[in-house]
Amino acid sequence: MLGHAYEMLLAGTMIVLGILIIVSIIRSVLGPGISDRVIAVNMIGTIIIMLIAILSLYLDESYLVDVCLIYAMVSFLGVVVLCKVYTGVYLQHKNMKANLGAVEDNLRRQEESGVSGEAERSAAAAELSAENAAGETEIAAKPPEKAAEQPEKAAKQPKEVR
Amino acid sequence: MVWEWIRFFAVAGLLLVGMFFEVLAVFGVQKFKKALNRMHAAAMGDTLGVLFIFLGLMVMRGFTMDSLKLFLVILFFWMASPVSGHMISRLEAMTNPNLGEISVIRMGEKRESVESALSETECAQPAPGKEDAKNESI
Repeated sequence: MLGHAYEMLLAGTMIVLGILIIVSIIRSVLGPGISDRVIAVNMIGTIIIMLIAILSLYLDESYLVDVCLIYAMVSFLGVVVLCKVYTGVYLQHKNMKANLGAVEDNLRRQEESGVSGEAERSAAAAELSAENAAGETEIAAKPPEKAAEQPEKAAKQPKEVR
Repeated sequence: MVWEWIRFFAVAGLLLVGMFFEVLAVFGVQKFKKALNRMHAAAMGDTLGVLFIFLGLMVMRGFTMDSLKLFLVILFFWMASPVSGHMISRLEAMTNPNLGEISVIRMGEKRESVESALSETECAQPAPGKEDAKNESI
Protein backbone atom coordinates (compact mmCIF):
# COMPACT_ATOMS: atom_id res chain seq x y z
CA MET A 1 0.00 0.00 0.00
CA LEU A 2 2.68 2.44 1.03
CA GLY A 3 4.98 1.39 -1.80
CA HIS A 4 2.16 1.89 -4.25
CA ALA A 5 1.51 5.38 -2.88
CA TYR A 6 5.20 6.29 -3.22
CA GLU A 7 5.23 5.00 -6.80
CA MET A 8 2.16 7.06 -7.65
CA LEU A 9 3.68 10.18 -6.07
CA LEU A 10 7.00 9.84 -7.89
CA ALA A 11 5.34 9.01 -11.21
CA GLY A 12 3.04 12.02 -10.94
CA THR A 13 5.99 14.28 -10.15
CA MET A 14 7.91 12.95 -13.13
CA ILE A 15 4.94 13.48 -15.45
CA VAL A 16 4.58 17.12 -14.33
CA LEU A 17 8.31 17.71 -14.76
CA GLY A 18 8.13 16.21 -18.28
CA ILE A 19 5.37 18.64 -19.20
CA LEU A 20 7.50 21.50 -17.83
CA ILE A 21 10.42 20.34 -20.00
CA ILE A 22 8.21 20.49 -23.10
CA VAL A 23 7.07 24.02 -22.22
CA SER A 24 10.67 25.09 -21.67
CA ILE A 25 11.70 23.63 -25.03
CA ILE A 26 8.97 25.73 -26.67
CA ARG A 27 10.39 28.83 -24.99
CA SER A 28 13.92 27.95 -26.06
CA VAL A 29 12.74 27.70 -29.68
CA LEU A 30 10.63 30.89 -29.55
CA GLY A 31 12.93 33.03 -27.41
CA PRO A 32 13.81 36.21 -29.29
CA GLY A 33 17.35 36.67 -28.02
CA ILE A 34 20.26 34.34 -27.49
CA SER A 35 20.19 34.85 -23.72
CA ASP A 36 16.53 33.79 -23.58
CA ARG A 37 17.48 30.52 -25.21
CA VAL A 38 20.39 30.01 -22.84
CA ILE A 39 18.08 30.64 -19.87
CA ALA A 40 15.54 28.12 -21.18
CA VAL A 41 18.24 25.50 -21.83
CA ASN A 42 19.65 26.06 -18.33
CA MET A 43 16.20 25.48 -16.88
CA ILE A 44 15.74 22.31 -18.95
CA GLY A 45 19.01 21.07 -17.45
CA THR A 46 17.76 21.78 -13.92
CA ILE A 47 14.50 19.93 -14.51
CA ILE A 48 16.31 16.96 -16.05
CA ILE A 49 18.56 16.74 -12.98
CA MET A 50 15.46 16.61 -10.77
CA LEU A 51 14.01 13.93 -13.05
CA ILE A 52 17.14 11.78 -12.76
CA ALA A 53 17.15 12.15 -8.96
CA ILE A 54 13.48 11.14 -8.76
CA LEU A 55 14.13 8.25 -11.15
CA SER A 56 16.90 6.96 -8.92
CA LEU A 57 14.38 6.58 -6.09
CA TYR A 58 11.64 5.29 -8.40
CA LEU A 59 13.83 2.51 -9.78
CA ASP A 60 15.74 2.15 -6.47
CA GLU A 61 19.07 2.42 -8.25
CA SER A 62 21.55 4.40 -6.20
CA TYR A 63 24.08 4.98 -9.00
CA LEU A 64 21.67 7.34 -10.76
CA VAL A 65 22.39 9.91 -8.01
CA ASP A 66 26.03 9.97 -9.16
CA VAL A 67 24.80 10.48 -12.72
CA CYS A 68 22.72 13.35 -11.39
CA LEU A 69 25.73 15.02 -9.75
CA ILE A 70 27.86 14.69 -12.88
CA TYR A 71 24.98 15.98 -15.02
CA ALA A 72 24.76 19.07 -12.81
CA MET A 73 28.45 19.79 -13.30
CA VAL A 74 28.33 19.25 -17.07
CA SER A 75 25.21 21.41 -17.41
CA PHE A 76 26.86 24.24 -15.46
CA LEU A 77 29.98 23.93 -17.60
CA GLY A 78 27.86 23.98 -20.77
CA VAL A 79 26.07 27.18 -19.80
CA VAL A 80 29.32 28.93 -18.86
CA VAL A 81 31.00 27.88 -22.11
CA LEU A 82 27.97 28.94 -24.18
CA CYS A 83 27.99 32.39 -22.57
CA LYS A 84 31.75 32.77 -23.05
CA VAL A 85 31.51 31.69 -26.70
CA TYR A 86 28.65 34.05 -27.51
CA THR A 87 30.31 37.02 -25.82
CA GLY A 88 33.50 36.20 -27.73
CA VAL A 89 31.64 36.00 -31.05
CA TYR A 90 29.88 39.28 -30.33
CA LEU A 91 33.11 41.05 -29.41
CA GLN A 92 34.82 39.66 -32.53
CA HIS A 93 32.04 41.01 -34.76
CA LYS A 94 32.18 44.35 -32.99
CA ASN A 95 35.97 44.60 -33.36
CA MET A 96 35.78 43.61 -37.03
CA LYS A 97 33.15 46.27 -37.67
CA ALA A 98 35.23 48.85 -35.79
CA ASN A 99 38.34 47.95 -37.77
CA LEU A 100 36.49 48.15 -41.11
CA GLY A 101 34.96 51.47 -40.08
CA ALA A 102 38.37 52.80 -39.09
CA VAL A 103 39.87 51.77 -42.44
CA GLU A 104 37.02 53.40 -44.36
CA ASP A 105 37.26 56.52 -42.25
CA ASN A 106 41.00 56.73 -42.80
CA LEU A 107 40.64 56.37 -46.57
CA ARG A 108 37.91 59.00 -46.72
CA ARG A 109 39.92 61.43 -44.64
CA GLN A 110 42.94 60.90 -46.86
CA GLU A 111 40.87 61.68 -49.93
CA GLU A 112 39.33 64.75 -48.32
CA SER A 113 42.65 66.07 -47.06
CA GLY A 114 44.15 65.50 -50.52
CA VAL A 115 41.35 67.47 -52.20
CA SER A 116 41.37 70.29 -49.67
CA GLY A 117 45.19 70.38 -49.76
CA GLU A 118 45.09 70.92 -53.52
CA ALA A 119 42.53 73.65 -53.08
CA GLU A 120 44.61 75.32 -50.39
CA ARG A 121 47.70 75.06 -52.53
CA SER A 122 45.99 76.59 -55.54
CA ALA A 123 44.51 79.30 -53.31
CA ALA A 124 47.93 80.05 -51.84
CA ALA A 125 49.43 80.15 -55.31
CA ALA A 126 46.70 82.53 -56.40
CA GLU A 127 47.35 84.75 -53.39
CA LEU A 128 51.07 84.68 -54.08
CA SER A 129 50.54 85.61 -57.70
CA ALA A 130 48.11 88.29 -56.58
CA GLU A 131 50.70 89.74 -54.22
CA ASN A 132 53.38 89.52 -56.85
CA ALA A 133 51.28 91.20 -59.47
CA ALA A 134 49.02 93.42 -57.45
CA GLY A 135 48.42 95.81 -60.24
CA GLU A 136 47.23 93.27 -62.79
CA THR A 137 43.46 92.93 -62.65
CA GLU A 138 43.22 89.61 -64.54
CA ILE A 139 44.82 87.51 -61.79
CA ALA A 140 43.41 89.54 -58.94
CA ALA A 141 39.92 88.66 -60.11
CA LYS A 142 40.60 84.93 -59.45
CA PRO A 143 40.87 84.69 -55.64
CA PRO A 144 37.22 85.61 -54.96
CA GLU A 145 36.16 82.60 -57.05
CA LYS A 146 38.40 80.33 -55.08
CA ALA A 147 37.09 81.85 -51.89
CA ALA A 148 33.56 81.21 -53.12
CA GLU A 149 34.41 77.59 -53.87
CA GLN A 150 35.89 76.81 -50.53
CA PRO A 151 32.85 77.47 -48.31
CA GLU A 152 30.91 74.98 -50.43
CA LYS A 153 33.46 72.30 -49.65
CA ALA A 154 33.47 73.31 -46.02
CA ALA A 155 29.71 72.93 -46.00
CA LYS A 156 29.92 69.57 -47.72
CA GLN A 157 32.39 68.01 -45.36
CA PRO A 158 30.26 67.73 -42.20
CA LYS A 159 27.49 65.98 -44.13
CA GLU A 160 29.86 63.37 -45.40
CA VAL A 161 31.29 62.82 -41.98
CA ARG A 162 27.87 62.32 -40.50
CA MET B 1 3.19 2.19 10.33
CA VAL B 2 1.84 5.56 11.39
CA TRP B 3 5.32 7.09 11.22
CA GLU B 4 5.74 5.69 7.72
CA TRP B 5 2.59 7.43 6.63
CA ILE B 6 3.66 10.65 8.29
CA ARG B 7 6.95 10.44 6.39
CA PHE B 8 5.04 9.79 3.18
CA PHE B 9 2.95 12.91 3.66
CA ALA B 10 6.05 14.94 4.48
CA VAL B 11 7.68 13.72 1.25
CA ALA B 12 4.51 14.47 -0.69
CA GLY B 13 4.31 17.98 0.75
CA LEU B 14 7.94 18.76 0.01
CA LEU B 15 7.71 17.39 -3.54
CA LEU B 16 4.52 19.34 -4.18
CA VAL B 17 6.07 22.58 -2.90
CA GLY B 18 9.13 22.02 -5.06
CA MET B 19 6.97 21.28 -8.06
CA PHE B 20 4.93 24.42 -7.36
CA PHE B 21 8.11 26.53 -7.45
CA GLU B 22 9.25 24.83 -10.63
CA VAL B 23 5.89 25.43 -12.33
CA LEU B 24 6.09 29.05 -11.18
CA ALA B 25 9.58 29.38 -12.67
CA VAL B 26 8.53 27.96 -16.04
CA PHE B 27 5.41 30.13 -16.04
CA GLY B 28 7.50 33.20 -15.26
CA VAL B 29 9.92 32.44 -18.07
CA GLN B 30 6.98 32.17 -20.44
CA LYS B 31 5.25 35.27 -19.10
CA PHE B 32 8.01 37.86 -18.83
CA LYS B 33 9.16 39.69 -21.91
CA LYS B 34 12.77 40.58 -21.18
CA ALA B 35 15.71 38.29 -20.62
CA LEU B 36 16.72 39.75 -17.27
CA ASN B 37 13.20 39.34 -15.89
CA ARG B 38 13.18 35.80 -17.20
CA MET B 39 16.44 35.13 -15.42
CA HIS B 40 14.88 36.33 -12.19
CA ALA B 41 12.10 33.77 -12.58
CA ALA B 42 14.45 30.96 -13.60
CA ALA B 43 16.75 31.53 -10.60
CA MET B 44 13.84 30.82 -8.27
CA GLY B 45 13.40 27.39 -9.85
CA ASP B 46 17.13 26.81 -9.61
CA THR B 47 17.24 27.46 -5.88
CA LEU B 48 13.89 26.84 -4.20
CA GLY B 49 12.60 24.19 -6.60
CA VAL B 50 15.80 22.17 -6.35
CA LEU B 51 15.92 22.64 -2.57
CA PHE B 52 12.42 21.37 -1.89
CA ILE B 53 12.42 18.48 -4.35
CA PHE B 54 15.79 17.21 -3.17
CA LEU B 55 14.78 17.68 0.48
CA GLY B 56 11.74 15.54 -0.23
CA LEU B 57 13.90 12.84 -1.79
CA MET B 58 16.31 13.01 1.17
CA VAL B 59 13.45 12.57 3.64
CA MET B 60 12.22 9.63 1.60
CA ARG B 61 15.66 8.02 1.56
CA GLY B 62 16.52 8.50 5.22
CA PHE B 63 20.09 8.64 6.60
CA THR B 64 22.10 6.92 3.89
CA MET B 65 24.93 7.71 1.50
CA ASP B 66 22.38 8.59 -1.19
CA SER B 67 21.02 11.34 1.04
CA LEU B 68 24.48 12.81 1.33
CA LYS B 69 24.88 12.76 -2.45
CA LEU B 70 21.53 14.47 -2.92
CA PHE B 71 22.61 17.10 -0.40
CA LEU B 72 25.80 17.57 -2.38
CA VAL B 73 23.70 18.17 -5.50
CA ILE B 74 21.78 20.91 -3.64
CA LEU B 75 25.05 22.45 -2.45
CA PHE B 76 26.54 22.38 -5.93
CA PHE B 77 23.42 23.96 -7.39
CA TRP B 78 23.42 26.76 -4.87
CA MET B 79 27.01 27.55 -5.74
CA ALA B 80 26.78 27.11 -9.52
CA SER B 81 23.45 28.80 -10.21
CA PRO B 82 24.54 32.36 -9.28
CA VAL B 83 27.68 31.99 -11.39
CA SER B 84 25.76 30.88 -14.48
CA GLY B 85 23.19 33.61 -13.83
CA HIS B 86 25.98 36.17 -13.72
CA MET B 87 27.39 34.90 -17.01
CA ILE B 88 23.97 35.00 -18.69
CA SER B 89 23.26 38.51 -17.43
CA ARG B 90 26.65 39.71 -18.66
CA LEU B 91 25.94 38.19 -22.08
CA GLU B 92 22.56 39.94 -22.13
CA ALA B 93 24.03 43.28 -21.03
CA MET B 94 26.71 43.10 -23.69
CA THR B 95 24.66 41.97 -26.67
CA ASN B 96 21.37 43.81 -26.12
CA PRO B 97 21.65 47.33 -27.56
CA ASN B 98 18.37 48.65 -26.14
CA LEU B 99 18.69 47.33 -22.63
CA GLY B 100 17.75 50.59 -20.93
CA GLU B 101 14.42 51.16 -22.58
CA ILE B 102 11.51 51.48 -20.21
CA SER B 103 8.35 49.53 -20.86
CA VAL B 104 5.10 50.65 -19.30
CA ILE B 105 2.72 47.88 -18.29
CA ARG B 106 -0.89 48.63 -17.49
CA MET B 107 -3.74 46.39 -16.51
CA GLY B 108 -5.56 44.91 -19.46
CA GLU B 109 -3.28 46.38 -22.07
CA LYS B 110 -0.30 45.24 -24.00
CA ARG B 111 3.11 46.79 -23.61
CA GLU B 112 3.57 50.30 -24.91
CA SER B 113 6.65 52.17 -25.85
CA VAL B 114 7.93 54.98 -23.67
CA GLU B 115 7.08 57.75 -26.10
CA SER B 116 3.37 56.98 -26.36
CA ALA B 117 3.02 56.59 -22.60
CA LEU B 118 4.84 59.84 -21.97
CA SER B 119 2.80 61.68 -24.58
CA GLU B 120 -0.40 60.39 -23.02
CA THR B 121 0.50 61.65 -19.58
CA GLU B 122 2.07 64.77 -21.12
CA CYS B 123 5.38 64.51 -19.41
CA ALA B 124 7.87 67.04 -20.67
CA GLN B 125 10.80 64.75 -20.12
CA PRO B 126 12.37 63.17 -23.18
CA ALA B 127 12.59 59.42 -23.27
CA PRO B 128 15.60 58.37 -21.21
CA GLY B 129 17.68 55.37 -21.83
CA LYS B 130 17.90 55.68 -25.59
CA GLU B 131 21.26 57.38 -25.39
CA ASP B 132 22.43 55.40 -22.39
CA ALA B 133 21.77 52.14 -24.15
CA LYS B 134 24.33 52.95 -26.81
CA ASN B 135 27.38 52.72 -24.58
CA GLU B 136 27.66 49.03 -24.08
CA SER B 137 29.88 48.44 -21.11
CA ILE B 138 31.45 45.12 -20.35
